[in-house]
Amino acid sequence: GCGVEKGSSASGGNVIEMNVNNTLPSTHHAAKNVYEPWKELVEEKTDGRVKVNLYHGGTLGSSASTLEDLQGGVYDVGTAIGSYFYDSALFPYTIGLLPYAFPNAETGTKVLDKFSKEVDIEVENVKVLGGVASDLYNLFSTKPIEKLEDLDGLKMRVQGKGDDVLAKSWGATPVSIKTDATYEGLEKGMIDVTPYTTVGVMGTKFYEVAPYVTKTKYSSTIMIPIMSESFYNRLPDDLKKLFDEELNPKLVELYAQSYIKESKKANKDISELVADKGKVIELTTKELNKFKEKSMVQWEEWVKDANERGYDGESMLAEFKKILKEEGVEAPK
Amino acid sequence: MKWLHQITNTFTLLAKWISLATLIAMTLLITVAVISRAIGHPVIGDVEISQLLMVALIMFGLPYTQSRDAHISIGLIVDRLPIKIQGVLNVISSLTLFFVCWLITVVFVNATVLNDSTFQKSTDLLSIPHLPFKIFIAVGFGLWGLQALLKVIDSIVSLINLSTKQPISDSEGKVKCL
Amino acid sequence: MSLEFIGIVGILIMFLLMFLRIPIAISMALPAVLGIYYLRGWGVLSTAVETIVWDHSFNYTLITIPMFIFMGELLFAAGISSELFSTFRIWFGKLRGGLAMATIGSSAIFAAASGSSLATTGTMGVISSKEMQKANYAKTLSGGSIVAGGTLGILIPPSTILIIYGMLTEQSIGSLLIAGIVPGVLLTVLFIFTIILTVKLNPKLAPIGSSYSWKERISAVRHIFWVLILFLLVIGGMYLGLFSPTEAAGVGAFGSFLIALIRKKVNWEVFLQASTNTVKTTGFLFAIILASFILNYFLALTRLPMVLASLFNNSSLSPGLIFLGIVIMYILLGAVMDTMAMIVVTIPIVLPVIEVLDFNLIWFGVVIVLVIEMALISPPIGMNCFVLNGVASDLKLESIFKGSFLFMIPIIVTVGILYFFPEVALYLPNTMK
Ligand code: NA
Ligand code: NA
Repeated sequence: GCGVEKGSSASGGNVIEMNVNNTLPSTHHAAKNVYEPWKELVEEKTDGRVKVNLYHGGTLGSSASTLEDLQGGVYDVGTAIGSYFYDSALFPYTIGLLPYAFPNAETGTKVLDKFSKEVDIEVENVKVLGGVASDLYNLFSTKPIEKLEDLDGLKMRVQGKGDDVLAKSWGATPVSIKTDATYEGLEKGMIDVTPYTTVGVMGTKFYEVAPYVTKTKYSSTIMIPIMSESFYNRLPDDLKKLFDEELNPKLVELYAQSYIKESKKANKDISELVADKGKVIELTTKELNKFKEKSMVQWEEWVKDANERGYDGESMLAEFKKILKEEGVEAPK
Repeated sequence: MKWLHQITNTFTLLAKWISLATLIAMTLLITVAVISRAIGHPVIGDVEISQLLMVALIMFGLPYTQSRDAHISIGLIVDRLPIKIQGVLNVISSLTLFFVCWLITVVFVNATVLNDSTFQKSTDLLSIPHLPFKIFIAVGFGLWGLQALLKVIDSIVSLINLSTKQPISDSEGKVKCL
Repeated sequence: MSLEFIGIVGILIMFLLMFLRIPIAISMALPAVLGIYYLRGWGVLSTAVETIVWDHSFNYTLITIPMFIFMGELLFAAGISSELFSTFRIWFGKLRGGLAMATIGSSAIFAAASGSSLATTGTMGVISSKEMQKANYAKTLSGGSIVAGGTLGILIPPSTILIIYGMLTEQSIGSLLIAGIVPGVLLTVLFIFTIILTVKLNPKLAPIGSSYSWKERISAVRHIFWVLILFLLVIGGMYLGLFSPTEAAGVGAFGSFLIALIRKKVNWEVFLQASTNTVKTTGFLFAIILASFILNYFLALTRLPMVLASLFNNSSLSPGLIFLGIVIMYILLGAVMDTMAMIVVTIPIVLPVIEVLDFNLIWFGVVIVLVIEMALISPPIGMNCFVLNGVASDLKLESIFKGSFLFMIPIIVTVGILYFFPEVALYLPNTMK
């Protein structure tokens, strides 16, 4: 029948409804490549015993409150995005936001996975399904930036924690403006530079007004798919096992693959898209190293921040560097 | 009951002044931010300060709005009903108002002063804690709820007066403020 | 009970409460919180209330609303609005129906500084109702022209309704506001044309007024300058991208304060009056806005919007018919509902349909505003008419509503023009890019 399934009454042979909130719009690649296929997979593998209600565009809650919403049961599955979890128990993941931590999305995701297993991350009523790194951040600017000095005095958009410290360290003037004002801000000179991922600008089209793309490749957005523990506990044992062993890892995998796939395409397309107005600038190793050097201030800040929050920042960083090394990555000095 | 009126009115008046000050501060902040960015010295965190001010402006404005009876309602049908029925509906209306405000107050009291387990958020650039501003929400809705409670009492009192005395009403049949 | 049915019951309860004279915000919040509690329990309810109230108060875009309200209040307090009217009176007073035209003209200019139709109606209503009464205008024509002029408040930028619409649909607020300019001017012209035609057919409605010399006319124009300068600063700055819409609103509020100061029209009392009015209006608007987002979460839980959207999508109706259906739905809803409440309740339901039909969302925002304008002046619930009745009680509510009917025709005509020529709305925002 079409009876209401109250969350708490779902058990035995009943259909269990799972509310999934995608804070990104239905046109975003996370919808097409991640959530839609995962919904189908869940319903197929559970033989319809779990029905997925998928909401796009943050219908059930915004990305600023994903963690609290999930903890309170506002929905059952979602993805905590980027810099919103500094003040939460997910804080250790913010290590993945440090400049020049990862050489690409693929390695980033691998390192985060290992790191999260080493550093116990306990979040009340939340099952953390994994961490995914996006493709890397580049600078999109209205003037060519071939070397660090070219950033001198340019107005650079800052948004997340410590962004202003980094911008200043690079010689830029930090300006805080909202994401939805960025396009116009670049077009009309309110700002000169915005950092963003190449996959990201395919949606926001910043390259139309900031056609100089400097491949600084310095940071990623971190996405953490999470599931409400009270939802998980309502599942019968066989379904718990199915989610643990197959479905939840699959969600993380779909996310990671989506970024790898989209980033290949975006990197190919971007040169063509800016060809007539600007260009894609590959920095020389020497120049890139200057950017790296001036970025270390954020690493220091992070350790301080971690210690202030009651973590052992130094040992967490040491652990992180060890894992990077295992993955064949040299952490910047 | 007079003391409850007095306390509520005093705090509502205070809330009004805070709200006014916030409004003026916000206007100045935005103007200064625009000008200083234009001359190359942007104010860091202007966006998040404005957002915090906005919380204060709204929350301290809510009880003042109630005190001026300015929350919009549709009197189209009820205004034409007999005074006694209007009186009963006024009691119901104030009760629902009280219930909703009380609920939101409880939510924010739980989330702030009674909560010590989870992390408290702060703003991105200046690390200003959200906590005091969430307490403002509890205060704003709490004051609004208090006024609703007073309205419940007043409505009941005037309903009792109605059944003993002649109704005090103007030509259009609206109950005058007692 | 199916989930969708619970959603429908929630909406019916909301209407019931509204008609019991319970504040609109509470009428929306009560069924929503009870519904969320019934479906998901206290834990979910308290979390949802906490994050929704926080997210929509700690919100940069919505700051635009109190700032634009402040700007309009300061201009009114500084007496700029009555000067506007007198300028138009000096120019058009001699014509038959000239004062009604002056009302429309000065409303249009005032709308360029005020984001709200109620504020525009209230402000211009005080002045022009007195003048038209003195000149023996028919109450229907005076009332109709004031409430019609008031509707321009949300079409000519700035506009609170377009800001909320932009929030709900994730469209650029700057583009939306600018899209309202040309349709706003068009509608102003059509309103004036309606008056010309009406007094030609029935000259008894409006006597001919006194005439002024060209010297007086030219000297009167200076009063318009102040508002135009402000408009150029605010909309021009936004158009050129010197600042974001939110910043434009703040600069506008500060600018109107400066204008009042320069013209020595501001003292502590006047300033206080403008500020407290702003706080009061912000209070009732945000009560509705916060309640509506709680209601939207409840409706999302019931999946009612999705079901309705799929009904539309699976129907074999042509896009034109669906568009007509949506417009008619809004006119009917607007007859009985507050406009701000109407837009926040319906947009999440209508949005998926509009997206499937591939209508431009900026264009649709302007259409929605026009339909809302009709709602504002139509009985039984026409907020503009209530406001006018509030500030000018000798214009009886009945004659205001009677007079306002006439002005629905130009609004319908404008919707029609927009349907066949979307560029009317889209040309300006497109040149911004
Ligand atoms: Na306006
Ligand atoms: Na109406």
